Amino acid sequence: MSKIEDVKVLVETGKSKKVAAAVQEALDAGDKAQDILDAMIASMGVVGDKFSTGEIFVPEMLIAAKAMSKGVEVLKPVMAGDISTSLGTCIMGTVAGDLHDIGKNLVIMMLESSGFDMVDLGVDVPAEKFVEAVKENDNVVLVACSGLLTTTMPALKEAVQTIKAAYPEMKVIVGGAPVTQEYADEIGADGYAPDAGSAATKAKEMISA
Amino acid sequence: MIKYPFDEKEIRDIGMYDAIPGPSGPVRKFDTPVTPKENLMSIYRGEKPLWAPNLTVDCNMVQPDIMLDAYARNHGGFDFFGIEWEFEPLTNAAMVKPGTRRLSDITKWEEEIIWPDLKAIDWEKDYKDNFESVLDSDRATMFMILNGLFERTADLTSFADTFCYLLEEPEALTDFYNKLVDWHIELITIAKKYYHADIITFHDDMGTQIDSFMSPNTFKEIMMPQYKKITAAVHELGMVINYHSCGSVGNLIPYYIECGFDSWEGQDSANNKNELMEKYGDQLIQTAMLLFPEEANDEQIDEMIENALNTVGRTGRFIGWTIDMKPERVNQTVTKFYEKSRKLYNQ
Repeated sequence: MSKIEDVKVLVETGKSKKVAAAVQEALDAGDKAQDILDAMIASMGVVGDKFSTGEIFVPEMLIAAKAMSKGVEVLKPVMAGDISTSLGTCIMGTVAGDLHDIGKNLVIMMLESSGFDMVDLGVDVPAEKFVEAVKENDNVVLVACSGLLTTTMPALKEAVQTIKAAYPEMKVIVGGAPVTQEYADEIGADGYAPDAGSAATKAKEMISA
Repeated sequence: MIKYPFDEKEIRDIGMYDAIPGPSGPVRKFDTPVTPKENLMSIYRGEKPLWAPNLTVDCNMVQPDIMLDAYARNHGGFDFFGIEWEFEPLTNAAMVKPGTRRLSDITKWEEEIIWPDLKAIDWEKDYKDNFESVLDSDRATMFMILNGLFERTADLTSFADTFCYLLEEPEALTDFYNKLVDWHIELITIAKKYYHADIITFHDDMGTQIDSFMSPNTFKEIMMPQYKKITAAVHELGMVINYHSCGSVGNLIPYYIECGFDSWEGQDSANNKNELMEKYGDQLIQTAMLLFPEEANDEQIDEMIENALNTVGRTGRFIGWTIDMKPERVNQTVTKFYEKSRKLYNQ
């Protein structure tokens, strides 16, 4: 098995304590950093799909994301300044009045593992703060808004509409337990994902559309 | 089985049950053919009850504020383990203040956790001062323990880390759970000794809206041995145990049964409870919440009750928990629930 294949397997199975050494070995064997990164992103794609189909569960997905992050740490000094590694910046937060962060954090991990630079605004984020973050950060290609409560669905609508009013071309993806594709359409979001695994796939689809 | 046909006299005004500190307001009594406690406990003995028990009416629900976990969950503040909770008015409940962390890593639990001394609390005084006069002996007493094993780990660290510990640190997690379960068994013993509990409700949510948090195998390996100890302790003390576990957890139900739980209080909106009742109802009683929206009219309330009783409730292996968002209508909705289930179960 090639060194890159080793890295892929270690990421997919979430062996975070072994990935860094395997990535270093792959680099030492002459594999290109970009190729190693692409292999890890592909592994996370598999993990996301398996999660979406119920083959694996949140812990398996999280340890894979953790392993990927350990591998990226080794690659970062080698790839410093190489902007081709990023799919762009994604701003994410849980909307105003909502303090839930678990779903948001899972999505951030999966999007980060897919190649996005993530800016986490945290929880209870007013609509205007999403707009400010788009303005303050470079290369923002996507805004992700999470809402877990039926009572904060109006805040989700406000966030989407405020972002769209300020940046009509900006892609906005929404999600959270009470949110549906129909609701996402109704409030003018460009995308919806029912879980963290499919959020990564959907986000990539949206920015390449 | 002896039939007790419904008699209109049963729903005449015979007064109210007192409010109980914590979750239960005053609620009307019915002139029942057997006591609500006898009726409710008959389900746990495998018998068909005379009516579908309603926790709102038929149970003394006890969640003493002196139990810091309960206070923090209901009002905000610090729980038994020093975790800060923030009250969220929109949901009328509290959650761990985002960013809070009391345990740096599960492998450090022995050095970092300060175990709450349950013996330092004057439970007897709390019972006498706040509960003795308002707990009706006709009703079963349910003692609620709100912070389960998995949830407590997430509260102490973070949800993300807790998920990882399940797969990456199973030994440290098990050592921690061994101690945490002993501590819970001490609390359960207090519930029996001082509050005379008949039922322990133990909370530990196990799923998201679409799936269980962990695989059935992980649940079996890590959680089940611990829960077996808890259910055994409850049964040894002569009580039964109701497992409150929200999320989509249908795949874990066989393991809940194997753990020894007597009933499962699950989330209706995340599970196909009719299917689960058909499959597992003979082994696991279901507790279900019926939440009546403020704007619901009489017909809609009738329909909700009849739907519950004619589906998941028809087996008699069902305990309801009616919550009416329109407070002035509570006595009316609990009466409808009682009368309809009395008639259905005694046809």
